[in-house]
Amino acid sequence: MASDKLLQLNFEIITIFLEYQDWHKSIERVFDLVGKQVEVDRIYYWDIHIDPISGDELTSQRFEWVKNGIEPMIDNPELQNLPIDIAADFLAPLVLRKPFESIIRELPDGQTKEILQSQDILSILVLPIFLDDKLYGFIGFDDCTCERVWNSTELDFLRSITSNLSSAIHRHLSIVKLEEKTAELKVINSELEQFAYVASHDLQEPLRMVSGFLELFEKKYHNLVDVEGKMYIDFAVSGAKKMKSIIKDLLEYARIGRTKESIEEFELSDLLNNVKSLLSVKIAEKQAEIVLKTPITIQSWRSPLNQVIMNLIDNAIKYAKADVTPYIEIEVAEEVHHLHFKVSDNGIGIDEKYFPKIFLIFQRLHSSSEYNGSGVGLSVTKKIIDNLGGKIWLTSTKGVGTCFHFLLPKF
Amino acid sequence: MWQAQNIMKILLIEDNEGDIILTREKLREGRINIELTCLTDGEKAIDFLTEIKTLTSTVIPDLILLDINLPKVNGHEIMEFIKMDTLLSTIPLFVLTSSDNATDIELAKENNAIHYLVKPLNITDFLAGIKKINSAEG
Repeated sequence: MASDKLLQLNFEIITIFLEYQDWHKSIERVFDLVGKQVEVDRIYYWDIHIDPISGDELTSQRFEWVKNGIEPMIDNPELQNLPIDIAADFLAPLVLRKPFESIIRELPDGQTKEILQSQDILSILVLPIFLDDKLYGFIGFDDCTCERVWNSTELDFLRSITSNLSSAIHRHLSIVKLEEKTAELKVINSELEQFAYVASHDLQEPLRMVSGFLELFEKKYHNLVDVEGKMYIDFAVSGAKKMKSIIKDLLEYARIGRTKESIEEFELSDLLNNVKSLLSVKIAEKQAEIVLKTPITIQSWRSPLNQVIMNLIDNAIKYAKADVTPYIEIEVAEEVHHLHFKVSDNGIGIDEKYFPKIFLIFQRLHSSSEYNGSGVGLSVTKKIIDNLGGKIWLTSTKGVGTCFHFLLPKF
Repeated sequence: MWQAQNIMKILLIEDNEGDIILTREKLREGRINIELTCLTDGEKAIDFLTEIKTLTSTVIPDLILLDINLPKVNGHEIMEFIKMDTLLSTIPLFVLTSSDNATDIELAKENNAIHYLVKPLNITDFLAGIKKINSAEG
């Protein structure tokens, strides 16, 4: 057989294996090509599996290709769930990664010979499939018409088929494993979110008792406590207030993604005006200038986008330089699949070494005496964007300003 | 209908003792004369309302202040019970709850709650609600 022909076929087979994530879908086509090329009567794939009840190792036929006129064995119940000992004769070389090659007539009398002869097999070649250094299964080639002896070119060709099958199986198993892991992580993640939501929600009630009664105590009995006592109450009140704001933020974070958002078409300028009115006190206080560079109409999730832009502008105003009027620019570019938003400022900037940290919940880079807040704003922003299938990142130069970039899917 | 110069009979349906005290104190800040009757679970509330409905009790509250998360029978169920009766449904009802959940707010609205207040009671909001009743009835 011409080796360049085999080389071309080999290439074709690799392509078929790569075409499908699941090798089960490619194996029949591959067997058909191989069977016709090397002119055998039957090709089959067996795997080795563990019986879930007894724990015994079994072997079963899973796929078969037969030449026209040859009796198929795929539905033969005697070729399913066989104890591995039955196949001990030809498994012996296979576990050593060697082929089992035999003219049936020359085999010693016994069970193996009987089984093979009952299928009209005259000669057989079996090649092992290894996965993670373990015999995973094997492929057999039957000749029912002549006592065939395989030449080395054919053997090399068939070996390359089995090694390609082995990598296809490996790839498929890895994908399946990864999918299982991902599904598992999703469940764990949603359980954690549920926990955060319930915990923060249920903490509100006892906290309301603490702050409510502290307030009442202060109001009714302030004459009965001395200066020190009043100081203690003040500490307790401010602690309760702080806790209330943390719980509020935590709830806000946990709530993201719990409501279904719908797509709307709207003017970006309308959205920005809404944000400006919500932040009007802070904007007026710092005399911040907010400019929309690209006043376009977009289709997106309005209310989450509103919150994202608001958080970023709020952040930009908060971290403005003390002696400089805050200047904030909003820009959107339509890319092939995304809307690319930029919110840039002339604020204090962020050192690059803190970039990975700034989106973490409760992560703050300044003490609360310098800048107040619980450090939830940017993590909320990131979670909203992640939930919508987007991405957020930043560029910044300390002392010059920061630009937050985010992508949202385009509709 | 309650008039400003009269005592306002408020039926507070609330299971948390602390909240009862805090609510009573807050209502005092409102400088209106009130008479507070408290019921601490949903079942007691249904019994009490049934007495009014069947005219066993002649004292009809001027306002119901209703919590949502209540033992045995929850606030939504109580609102539905009230809604079904022609007499009970004439009594103005405010919800006073810790929940600011959109579903709770929506349901309360559907069940004819006039005002939805989130704990702790804010007396200004409460008085605004009272104004709403009076202008609706006046």
